[in-house]
Amino acid sequence: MTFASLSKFVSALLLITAPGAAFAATVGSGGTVNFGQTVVSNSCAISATDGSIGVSGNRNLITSDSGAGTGSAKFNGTLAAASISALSNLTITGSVIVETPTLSGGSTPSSSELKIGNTGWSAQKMVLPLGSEGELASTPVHVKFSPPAGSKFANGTYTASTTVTCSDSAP
Amino acid sequence: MRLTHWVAIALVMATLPAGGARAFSLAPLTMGEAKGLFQISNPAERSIRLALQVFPPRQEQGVTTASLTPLSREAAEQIIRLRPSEFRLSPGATRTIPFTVLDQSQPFFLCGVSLQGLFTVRVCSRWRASVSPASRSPRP
Repeated sequence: MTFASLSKFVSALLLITAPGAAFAATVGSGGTVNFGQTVVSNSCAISATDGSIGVSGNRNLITSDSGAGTGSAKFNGTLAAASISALSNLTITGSVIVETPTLSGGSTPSSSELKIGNTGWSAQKMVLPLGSEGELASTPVHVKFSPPAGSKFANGTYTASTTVTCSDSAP
Repeated sequence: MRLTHWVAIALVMATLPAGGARAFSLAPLTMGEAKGLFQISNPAERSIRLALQVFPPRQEQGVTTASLTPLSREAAEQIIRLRPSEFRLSPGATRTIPFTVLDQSQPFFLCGVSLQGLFTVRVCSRWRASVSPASRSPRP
């Protein structure tokens, strides 16, 4: 093989292995890629993280808020706020409603109260309007229960719960 | 859309499926037609078990929302047909469920309900009663 023919062979080899060569040819016919369906409409996404409750040393209070009792109140259990957040694309009147909490366990409470964010305690359900972009930023939720009148909470395992609803709330 | 709007959305998106949180979304929030599809998604990192339940409406403090006690399964099946009514959504999953309103004469809420954890979390779709099925027109 002469030098001239060898250099032509090397040039041809370089052309074949050049990066662009891989894109030069199309093999086979095109295919179809399908995607699942979606619903474009008013929607609401709601997120909730559980909290935890404890009982005061004198059994006069079950709460998730360590600041709910008197200044010197000691609690058994780990107290932690729950939290809720929501995101909606509502073009209608929408809101998140947090119902009055319930307590199940050995004693029926004489009062059940709710505290959302920096608001005060309330024995009524609370309506949280969504922001201008349909959002409700992550918001802490506390609960507080008082024992039956004239008594203290009896022994038992207590569970607090509440209902949080996102819906079209126009009258 | 203004920059503040994007910032607000970004903040909410960042906080919505917080670690350990259960979350789900439901659309539409208003049933405009007697037949349609519900789309239910789980944006969180945890699996979630959901039930679709029918609630009568109630109005308090100027706000209309779903009552706390659902209709019985038998009563609900007289009002709306949908399958399935209970299912589990894995993280990131989306499911569409067809529905048909059978009784268009009474208002109700169809709610996706999460029964796990201490919260009962509901996202509700509203059906407003029509005077008669023939007079029903599409809603936005």
